Amino acid sequence: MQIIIHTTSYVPIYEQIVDQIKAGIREGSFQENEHLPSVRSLAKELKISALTVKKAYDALEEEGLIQTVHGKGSYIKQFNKALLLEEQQKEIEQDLEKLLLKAKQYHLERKQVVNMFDLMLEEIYDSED
Amino acid sequence: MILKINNAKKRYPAFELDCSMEVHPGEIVGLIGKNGAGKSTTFSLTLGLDRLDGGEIELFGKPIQELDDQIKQKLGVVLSDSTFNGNLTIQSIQNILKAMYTKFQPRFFEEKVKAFELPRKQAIRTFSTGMKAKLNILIALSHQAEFLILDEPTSGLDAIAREEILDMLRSYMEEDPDRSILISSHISSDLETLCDQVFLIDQGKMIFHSDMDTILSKYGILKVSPSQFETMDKSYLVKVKDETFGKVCLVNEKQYYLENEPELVVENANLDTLFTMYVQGESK
Amino acid sequence: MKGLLIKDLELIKSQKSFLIMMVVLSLAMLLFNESDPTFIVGFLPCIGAMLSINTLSFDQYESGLKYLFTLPIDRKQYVLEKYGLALLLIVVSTAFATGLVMITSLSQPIDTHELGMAALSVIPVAICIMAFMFPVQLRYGSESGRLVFLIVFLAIGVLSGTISQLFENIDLSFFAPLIQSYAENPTLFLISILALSLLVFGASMYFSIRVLKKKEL
Repeated sequence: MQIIIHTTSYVPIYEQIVDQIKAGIREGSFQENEHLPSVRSLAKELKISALTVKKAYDALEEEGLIQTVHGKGSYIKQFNKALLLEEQQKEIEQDLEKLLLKAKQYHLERKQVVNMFDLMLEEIYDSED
Repeated sequence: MILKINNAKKRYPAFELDCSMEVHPGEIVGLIGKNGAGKSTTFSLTLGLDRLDGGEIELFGKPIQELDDQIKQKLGVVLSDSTFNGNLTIQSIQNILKAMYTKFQPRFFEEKVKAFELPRKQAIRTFSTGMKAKLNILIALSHQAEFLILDEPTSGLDAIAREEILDMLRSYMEEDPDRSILISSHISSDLETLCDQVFLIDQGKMIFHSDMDTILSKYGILKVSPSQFETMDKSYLVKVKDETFGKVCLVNEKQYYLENEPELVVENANLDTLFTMYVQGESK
Repeated sequence: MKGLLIKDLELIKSQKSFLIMMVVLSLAMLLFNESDPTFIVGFLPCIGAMLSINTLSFDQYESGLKYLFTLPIDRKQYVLEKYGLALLLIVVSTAFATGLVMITSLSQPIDTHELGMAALSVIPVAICIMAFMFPVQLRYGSESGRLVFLIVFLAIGVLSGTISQLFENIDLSFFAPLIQSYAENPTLFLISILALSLLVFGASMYFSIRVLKKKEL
């Protein structure tokens, strides 16, 4: 499975796994009902604790994206791509709201915020392809 | 439960061991500590080699005093300072293992011996450290053991050899999810990529226990100036250590500081730093 | 126990050069010592007993016992195997020595009865060597074990002189009938000595098991 872990990121590893699997589902790299590697297999591949993998799988199951059958492993559930996309957008919107509220709390001017935003956009979005 | 250590006590002239620990099926548990902290003593007690002065140890649900060869069939062991006699050869060791273990896997053993390029007919005392370590692990993995007890199995090895051994352990766990491992090391980076649970032992006592995921995702290291230390929120502070620039802090919720005190230098914690802070740092 | 036996046999095998030297030495002694060809019959069985004790030394070397007891064996089995091996080695080396002597006797005729007696009488001695040395080495380690053995060996040498003097002075008339029947039937005498040594052997084994059970590895 094509999952790449950034070990020195502040983002918890299980979250990175969840995000990448979600992105994979969105992009169509997973088939419906496709079997995911066992917890130990993925732990071996990524060289991480099995608990972390389990945490990721549990989170995905809670969001209704995968199904774990005891003794048989986990597999991708039939999914609604559009719904998933909508969920992730909502997530970004919420973070954006939080951010702007904080900027307001710190009495940042609108112009400053837009400036910062543009700079960040350039750094993160425009510098890659 | 595979292993339960409950306030196991052992008195020596230099120090006293008093520790508790658990290993559940399917877990990889790591034990970290300085040399002489009590790691090997814990292992000796767990294997019935030494007698407890107090407390209980249960292995596969049976008190350690009732340890018999039936239970030992299910164990795969690597000790830090003891192995087969150096005059034996791999060929003779294979014959011995075949006679001793009902579930010995000769094909697996031979394949791995060949893969590691270990000479079959040479006395093992002529082997290099790396070869000896690989052979010891191989022996432990050769009979479908349910519980591996490994005391410093990668000691003295280079990074490549260590990774080979760790990978063998990962594959071993992959084959049967009910297997468990108890492994001690002072190479923390090895344990980070392997263990589910970690116990820290110092001067005979368990000073810390957590699962690896929490350590890597929640714990953090803050490097602060004295003035920053004055004003910072200390609710998540676990340990503090003085440095030339000010203080180093171990916190158990780095996300809080990343969000609310972004001017502070925050780093991910790892086993090494966690260990150092717990042994050398002070509580807040 | 089978695994332990294989281990010990492999360890003895690894001492090829020593074994070969013993055989060569024995042949040399036979061929060049015309006065007492039965000497090796007294010598080799003791080597046999020592070989078994040697496997204990090997096990104790570099904390090896620790690892051994993580294998599926228990302490009783360990002792049983060592004592069993000792008996086996003693019998084999006695047979081997006797065989060698008989082969060389083709060139110089030998009193086979005397040979048989010598063989039978050395077995109890070898058994007692094992019975005495094993628990000592088990308890005190191989260096101390060897030292103790040396001391005892010398002590026996010194004492045997004193003991035989004692016997000359003691009035043994009480034992007269016993001694009489033994003198008439030396085979009976030897067999009872053998039985006695086996008793000592058994007691030593029981004692060794207790020593090992108490021992911290």
